[in-house]
Amino acid sequence: MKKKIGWLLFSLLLITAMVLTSCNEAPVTTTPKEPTIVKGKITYPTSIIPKPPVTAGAEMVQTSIPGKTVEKPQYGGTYIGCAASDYTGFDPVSSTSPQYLAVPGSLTNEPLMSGDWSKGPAGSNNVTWQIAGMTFLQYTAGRIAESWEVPDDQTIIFNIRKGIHFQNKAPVSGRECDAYDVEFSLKRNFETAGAYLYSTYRGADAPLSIKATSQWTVEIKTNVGKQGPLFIAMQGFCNIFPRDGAATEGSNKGTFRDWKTSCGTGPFILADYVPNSSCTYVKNPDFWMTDPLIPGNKLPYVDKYLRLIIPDESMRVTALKTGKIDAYQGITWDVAEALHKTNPDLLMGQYLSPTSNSIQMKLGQGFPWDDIKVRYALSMATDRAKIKDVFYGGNAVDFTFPIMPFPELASMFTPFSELPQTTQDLYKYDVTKAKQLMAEAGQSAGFTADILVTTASQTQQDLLQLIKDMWKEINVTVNVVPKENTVYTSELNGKTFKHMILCYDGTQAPYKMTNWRPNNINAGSINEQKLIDVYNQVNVLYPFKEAEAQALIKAQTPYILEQCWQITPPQPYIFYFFQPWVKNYNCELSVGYYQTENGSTFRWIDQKVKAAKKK
Amino acid sequence: MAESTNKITVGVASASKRRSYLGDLFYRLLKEKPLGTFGAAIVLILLLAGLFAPLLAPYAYDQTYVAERLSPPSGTTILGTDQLGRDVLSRIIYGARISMIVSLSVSTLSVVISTAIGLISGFMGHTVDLVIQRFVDAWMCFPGIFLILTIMAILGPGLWQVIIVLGFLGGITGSRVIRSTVLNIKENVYVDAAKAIGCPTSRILMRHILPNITAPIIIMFTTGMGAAIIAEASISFLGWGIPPPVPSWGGMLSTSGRTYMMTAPWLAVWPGLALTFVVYGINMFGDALRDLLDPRLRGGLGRYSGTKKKMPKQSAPRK
Amino acid sequence: MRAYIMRRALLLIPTIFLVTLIVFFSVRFVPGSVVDIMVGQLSAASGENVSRADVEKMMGLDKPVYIQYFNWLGHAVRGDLGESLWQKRAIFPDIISKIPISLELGIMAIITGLLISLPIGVYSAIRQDTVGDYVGRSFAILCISLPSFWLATMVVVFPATWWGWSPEVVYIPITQNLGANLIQFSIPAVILGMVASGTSMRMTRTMMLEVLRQDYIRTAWSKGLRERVVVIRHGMRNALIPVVTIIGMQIPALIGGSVIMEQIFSLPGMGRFMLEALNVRDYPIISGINLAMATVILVINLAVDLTYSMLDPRIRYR
Repeated sequence: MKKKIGWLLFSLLLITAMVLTSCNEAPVTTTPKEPTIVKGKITYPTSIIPKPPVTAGAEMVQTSIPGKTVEKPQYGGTYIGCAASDYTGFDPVSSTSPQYLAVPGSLTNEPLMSGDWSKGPAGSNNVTWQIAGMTFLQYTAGRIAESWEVPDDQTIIFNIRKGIHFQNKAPVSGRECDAYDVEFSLKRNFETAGAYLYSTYRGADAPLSIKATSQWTVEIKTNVGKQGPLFIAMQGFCNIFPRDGAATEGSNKGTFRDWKTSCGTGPFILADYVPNSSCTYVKNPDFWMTDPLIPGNKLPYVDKYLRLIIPDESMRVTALKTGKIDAYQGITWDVAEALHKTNPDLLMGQYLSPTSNSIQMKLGQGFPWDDIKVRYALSMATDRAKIKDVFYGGNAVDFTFPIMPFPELASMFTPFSELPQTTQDLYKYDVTKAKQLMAEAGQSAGFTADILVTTASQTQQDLLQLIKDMWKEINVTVNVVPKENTVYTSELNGKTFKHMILCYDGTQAPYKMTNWRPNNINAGSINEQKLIDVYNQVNVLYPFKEAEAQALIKAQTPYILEQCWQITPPQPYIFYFFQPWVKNYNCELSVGYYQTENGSTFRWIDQKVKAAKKK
Repeated sequence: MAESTNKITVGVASASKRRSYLGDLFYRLLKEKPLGTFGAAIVLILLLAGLFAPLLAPYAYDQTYVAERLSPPSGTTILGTDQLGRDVLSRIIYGARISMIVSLSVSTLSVVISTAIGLISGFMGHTVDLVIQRFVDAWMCFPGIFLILTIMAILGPGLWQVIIVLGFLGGITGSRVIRSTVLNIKENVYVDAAKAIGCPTSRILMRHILPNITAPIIIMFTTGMGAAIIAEASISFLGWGIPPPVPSWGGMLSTSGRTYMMTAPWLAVWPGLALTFVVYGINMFGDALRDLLDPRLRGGLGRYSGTKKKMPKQSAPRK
Repeated sequence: MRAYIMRRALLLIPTIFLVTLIVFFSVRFVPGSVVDIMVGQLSAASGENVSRADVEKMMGLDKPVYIQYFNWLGHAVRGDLGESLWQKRAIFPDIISKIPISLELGIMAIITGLLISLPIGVYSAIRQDTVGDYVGRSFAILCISLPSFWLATMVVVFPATWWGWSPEVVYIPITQNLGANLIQFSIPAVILGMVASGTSMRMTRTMMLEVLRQDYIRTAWSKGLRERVVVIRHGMRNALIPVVTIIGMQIPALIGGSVIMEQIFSLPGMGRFMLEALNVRDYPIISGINLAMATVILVINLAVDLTYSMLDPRIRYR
């Protein structure tokens, strides 16, 4: 009996302790304002990057940017990152999912070009490096390609950098990388069935020829108007591999698939790989690149980069709390709030998620929302302020569609206040007006709409519950249909969902204008000739005539917003945390075009701070 | 031992007045099994809460009051609110309904399936048995969770899908027990006698076989109920459970309960306690029933503690 | 005896054939095909329109299903489970490398389960309907009433907040550091063991109760033997035979059933392999794991049955 009472007391204590720990709330104070554009730059907190305190007595060095000094980077140490799931492979041609492959890609094998680190938050701060699908010539730096030329509208010439050597591994054994390797790698990507570039650039989109014209130049011939897209593709998905590596087994098999024989010119060498568990990279001592900010400093700084696979979110947060990982991004605001309270020593930053989600409606199939008035009504019945201020605790941005308010997109972005008053009204919460519009459309009795959502995201499911209650006001009955992620993806691609879907709306790559032309991810099946024409022009202009392309896209914003094809709820901030000993970490999600781990090359670890904290 | 179920009054309770089968069971439960009675009370509470959920719950389970999100337990919302401001108490009461539906339907389905398979396979024997048992073998050689995952993936998340999956899983596994019981009973002389006098198979099944497998069926039913609730929670954790806003306890625990375990522990505590409490109750009740129904455990004379009591008071030191 | 073993072994063949049919075709009924996910990823990253038929052809999924089945079966018979659709890695070596992780977890869980269930089971049988019985049994039943993921999440979340301590976040191979590996596995193993203990506690208790009613126990008592001798030498010995079967039956469930623990404690075992493959619909992996598991379990079942017949002289081989 005594035992029983003991247990009872123990559990009571446990509960009281749990309730007590949760009772004091102090919200994270972030009050984003309406974005304003000053001289082509958005002054808007798309991301809040905490500056780690400079260690007392640390030596400062002058950077290549005048007037900017930084703490002198230290060499050595281990950077420990984490991810929820494992790589899908090590060889780009054996996988159709390059965005996951880009990870080992930018670490072990370099692309032709990547993002210019000195233009990012660590340097001149022109670009956030948070939009993976974004590429701008002015922010692009050559890697294996030292420079490139575009002599006519059918040719791209890459001049290959001299003095880059492959990692010292058999059979390549540190040979210098030249144009023939580039030719081999590009051809392999465009010609191997199953490769990402082979699948996405077919027919007229594919390059006509890829040829090394000398040991240091590669010439690519394309169809007219296809030059731009191919140039972009080669920035992210074409990492360079040694041409002798795959020779033994034919180009499809190759030794690159096996991590043990993987070989590239990148900053890190694969040292160990435990599938579904961890991946260890060690520093490549022969890496050619120096820090673009601090001339003469050889890269990378850390000796070892450890990437842990931790599938469970609570475990990832716990690992961060106990210092077992160095950084973790992708925390929702309320979890971040609690974490910030319990572990104030962790540095907290926030960024706007570049993948914006909208409720997209099937159009042109005789549903009530084919009537523009119904769409207006749905938009006006959506209380964006409530979602932003209450559901997201103020940690959200009202308007992210069709262009997100990132500094790098400033020349395409139109602030809300600059839109015509009639368009602005469409996005203000007004139930009476919405009811009136419904009546005008002959829908005062309302209708039922199924909205498909993925079970992978708790926030999205919750959000739809809120919207369901909001739309009830105008007699629209929402059935939230949560489906498992793969089934959801398949219904999205096949357009087999019933009415509406909450899904990604193409904001990662505004140049692609995916949502206005026939495309797998154009969920609403919007097919506007006017916008397709614009896309065809942009596709030719971009990236070599960026400014013209940007102006064209910007001009479409009022029209797109006026059509109200989709309901875009406010976009939440995502929080990230890192240990105080991690330096040069600014939450770069992708330095370059789908170069998701490129930032690891430039980070360094303050080992004194780490040693002090670990005690 | 087989016919003893019919002569239940021979046992401990023989001293008391003659009662009906169920009445006697109930009496003995109250008298001998306090924990079992406690469990039965919990099961009763679950059933009542499930049946009268709309009357008991102060709010609708899916009404959002987002301004009140994540508010701790207070006067208006006794158990606090969740991330959309929904009342946790109401959701737990409605969750009782879901748990009730899941546990009862799963148990019923699995009992029906296992009785059908067990009876056919055990009674027909020979080729039929051989063929059916290969299927059962094939089914049983997958770890349960793999079967659950694959079938849930085929059917998609949802209430009836969970019921079907768990029902079949329990049913086919349980058919082994029924089959072996049937095989034992079939060997008895009275079955042969019934066959000899020309009883139709259906009569033999109904009169002689079925009454003798009631005990394992009842035990399977009660333990199956508890297992179903836990299994539903596990499926929810793996993302294949009953989708929101349906308030299943497992779903509440595995989604908001886990996400907000630090920020709003009440989201993890209350559904967790409700679930544990109910499964505990069902199991205790089931165990008590097993003790009471299992013919091999009956009889005061053989009882170990009974023996102890009857023994002369010797000073055998217990350590 | 030999004939019995032979017969049992021969019966495995039709069962395994059925298993191959189930594992191959069931995954292909799962809605949301792997082709759709690939098409989705290709178009989301590139903004290009990707043809479904193209991707299907690349994956070799355009052939009729029965032809795919016989191809797969032909390879599987030779021990080649094919390549994964996503990673293009051979599946068989991966399975071989993951089985020990799940097996270690399973065995440790069984040991923990027995440490909890045997004492409680025996005690609550010899002190049936006493307070001790109630407390012990309540504890064991409480263990199975707690959802394991709930318990595991608490272990992950609270100690880290209160004391800055957490379980290991990534798998430590047993070859690398035996001690750390055992410590890492002990937490999920204890939780799993607690969950499994309920069943074996019940079995032990029931068997004990049954055995203690037997005539030879009464004889032992009347001989005036001490309680410990009666309970341990005469009672437990006989009561534990069926418990062995239960343990045997738990092995497969524990190998496969540790998905949740593997997920939370980042252990790259069979369960997680399966779960991740299912999430991206990697058909060859799902079929391969299921086939491998089924074969292992059939063999274990056979072994358990044979052990049981050897332990219990009452069983005759028919």
